[in-house]
Amino acid sequence: MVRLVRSASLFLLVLLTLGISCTIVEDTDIQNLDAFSKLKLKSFEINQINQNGESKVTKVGTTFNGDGQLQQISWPLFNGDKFGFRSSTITGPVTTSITYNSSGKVIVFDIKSGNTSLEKYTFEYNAEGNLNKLISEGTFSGNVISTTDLIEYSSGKPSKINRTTTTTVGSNAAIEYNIMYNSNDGSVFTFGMTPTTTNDGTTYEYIQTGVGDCPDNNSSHMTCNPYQLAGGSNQLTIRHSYTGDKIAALIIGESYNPGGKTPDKYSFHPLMILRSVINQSEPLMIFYMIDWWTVKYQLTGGGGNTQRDVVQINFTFGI
Amino acid sequence: MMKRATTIIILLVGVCINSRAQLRLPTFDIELKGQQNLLPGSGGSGNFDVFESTNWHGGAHIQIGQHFAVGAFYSRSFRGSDHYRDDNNSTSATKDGLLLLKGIDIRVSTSRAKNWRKYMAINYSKLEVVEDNVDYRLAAKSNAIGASVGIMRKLSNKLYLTVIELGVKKLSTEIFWVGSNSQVIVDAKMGLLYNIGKRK
Repeated sequence: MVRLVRSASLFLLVLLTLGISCTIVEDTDIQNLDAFSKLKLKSFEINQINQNGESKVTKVGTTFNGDGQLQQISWPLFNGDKFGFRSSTITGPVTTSITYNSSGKVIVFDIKSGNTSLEKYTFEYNAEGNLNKLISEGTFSGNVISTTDLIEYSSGKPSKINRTTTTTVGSNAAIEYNIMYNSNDGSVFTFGMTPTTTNDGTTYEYIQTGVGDCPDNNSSHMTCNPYQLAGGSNQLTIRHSYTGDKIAALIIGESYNPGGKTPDKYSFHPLMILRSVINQSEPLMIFYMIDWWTVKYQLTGGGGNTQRDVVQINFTFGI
Repeated sequence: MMKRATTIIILLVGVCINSRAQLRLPTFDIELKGQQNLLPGSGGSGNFDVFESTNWHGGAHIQIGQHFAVGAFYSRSFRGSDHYRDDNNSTSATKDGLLLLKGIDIRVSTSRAKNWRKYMAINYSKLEVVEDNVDYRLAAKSNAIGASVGIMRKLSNKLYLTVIELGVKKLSTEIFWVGSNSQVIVDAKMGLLYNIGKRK
């Protein structure tokens, strides 16, 4: 018996010795932040979840250039969906071509139907590599609109957006958005707008975070911080989870707000998928998601979609 | 260096086990435990929340008198996960995680009482953490210094049950996807310890 125990013990110790030389780290693993930041967006899908929790998952076609950068996107048809493009009329398949500069930064994001450009976004950068100018052109609500945003930075963060807009019916007065951050965690707190009323009759005056319910598709709502128009009852919640600078999922939905006006759709903006390739892009992404939602849908009221439908964009990154 | 020292210690122990000589010293023990680990993140919106894993922990110690023991351990997870919070502070993403610990420790214990025996230990370990994202894996290595306290119950002359052992480890380098605010692992262990050799 004693010998048996001794033999078993020796066997165990040999196993232990062998085990000590083992490792769980493989050569192909990403072992530092630099290597991690080089991961590229490989694919994404759009999951539209209705208030009954039913999902409609749509894969988005992607192709890449020789440097592994996302070059072409083939979009599914979004007819009747909660999620779509800001452009007014889309009759055929939609594709996007993305152009990069020599530094690997996106300079043109062109959304086309056939050979016709529906929405064209032109990006410019300052010496620090921060996005300092974004020109958005397209036919929105029947008008050809060109918006030029000049982005200023303070302490490395976007602090102000100066906007000028021209349309087929004339130019709007310049608008200045001041981005303010939460002193506790540095998250975006408000987008203060000056002047408080635009000359096209838009009456909203302020975009800010509030406290309300998240679009969780459950009867019991989680508390979260949706973005809303000050004094208004309409809210848009934006949630995202991420590692480093990589978003895993972006979740868009309204708050549970029975008395409020319901946005009919959420509009796509390139920063939703370009967050990882644009410096300090999170506050800008939030700003443009709210902005696109507000411009097209919030003021025109709801339509056929349910108030609490949720759109979730799931991202996959890879080497 | 640590690996070589560990190997020598364990081989020495092995030689002693199989020695047919009457010299029964040193007395030693082997242990097998389940170990639950937690690496808390900074929390808050949009941040890494917590890494947790369940490990098999094996170890062997040479006993020096009644109160001291020196040995090595190896602990490897058979399950684990990384949890992230979204920017509204609700847990939103979970990834598979792995944790490996291997190192040496010194244990100080009370005398062999009739039933209960308390002990504390300090340890030095090499640590590896992996997060599996299916398409790619994140991995990091660090050294860690730690301490633990525990209590075991005597089941027989040679067999003890570690009722609970609670420990904490301080990492020397940050896990890059976890953040600099999270460099402490806390753990809890339960398992068995078997004494081999002459009872002193």
